[in-house]
Amino acid sequence: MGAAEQAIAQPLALSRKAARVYPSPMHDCSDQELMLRYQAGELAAFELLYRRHNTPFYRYLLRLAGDRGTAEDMFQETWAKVIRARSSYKPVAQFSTYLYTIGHRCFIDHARKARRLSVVDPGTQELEDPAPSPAENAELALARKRLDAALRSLPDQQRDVFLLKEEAGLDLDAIAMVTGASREAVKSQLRYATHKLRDAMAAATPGASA
Amino acid sequence: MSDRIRENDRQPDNDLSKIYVELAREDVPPELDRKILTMADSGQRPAVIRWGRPIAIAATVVICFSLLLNLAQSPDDSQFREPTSRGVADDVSRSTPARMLPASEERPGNAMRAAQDTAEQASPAAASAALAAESLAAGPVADLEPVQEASSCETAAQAQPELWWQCIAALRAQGLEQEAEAEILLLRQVFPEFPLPK
Repeated sequence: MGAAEQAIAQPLALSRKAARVYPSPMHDCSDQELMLRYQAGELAAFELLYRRHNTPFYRYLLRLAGDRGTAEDMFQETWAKVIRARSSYKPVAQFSTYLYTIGHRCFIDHARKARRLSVVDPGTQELEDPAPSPAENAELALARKRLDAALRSLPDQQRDVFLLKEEAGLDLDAIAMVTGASREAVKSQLRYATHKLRDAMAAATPGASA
Repeated sequence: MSDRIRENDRQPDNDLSKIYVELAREDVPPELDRKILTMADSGQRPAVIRWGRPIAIAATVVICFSLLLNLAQSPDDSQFREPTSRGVADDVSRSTPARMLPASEERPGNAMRAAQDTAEQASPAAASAALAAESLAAGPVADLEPVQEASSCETAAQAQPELWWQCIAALRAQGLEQEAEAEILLLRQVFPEFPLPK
């Protein structure tokens, strides 16, 4: 690569004034900044924000509800609420906390509508296995089923807390904010969930060490 | 010691997280992605477009309602006004030809003409006011309806209290004290702030 090509390839160092005129590239923006940009009318900002969160959030709802149809309904409902409330959005907390709080409330509403404490009846409902890739071996598929079964065996609150930690990557304080429980309660639930899952996985694989 | 316990406690957590990350592989269905992004796009449309139709409907309803309300109130208004004005006007129309005027001058607007004559004697400004009163009274007079011709005094008064007072003065000059008193009462009702000349 010649010197001229290198000069073109290097990003230009913008002055402060130019940085104000030309906002920073979207990929460098935080979630809150993206949401504010969407609030200001930039659809591309929302697309990027959505791409950042869609998969973990979908998995969170899927494992929480245990049913693909319900999870898709809640997924759509939650994002619709985010879109509708964009004009009143204020970046007071992490966007992920905001998103998962709405999702969590959607789940609670669905659970109330279903008139049962637990939406998932442990052991009776299994998530459809995603189409296995050619490289995926039977052992991996079996491990996924075990994990799904172990997750379904958890009480709702413990499963919720575990998923918020694993899928959303939230810390204890953020999980407490989402679920409305105290930090200590969240910590305790997370510990119980982890032990149960570990035991369940170990019991399913007799040769594995705990 | 406690650190070691905590470390032992954390290690399986990390293993479990790793297993979970490896195993959780579900992706969002593409059609669901499209739905959300379409929703976000439609949510970005200007508020004028999104609210245009509801606002138009609401405006139509409000206009229709106000028109209906206006129509409903109109008869009540006429019921309120007609008896008083007609009552006085009838009195004037009945009494004027009989008492004061010769048979040749039994025409509509006579009271106003008398007011004009009186005003001309008083001052030029009052004369012009009386002329204005006559011009105001000319419309109803043309119809030759007894009720309408007698209400010329009221029509003038509705425009200006000074003109009404001129009309009252004309009635007094003709000796129609009762009618003048009735007109004064009306004048006080309509223009309570108008200081009655002595």
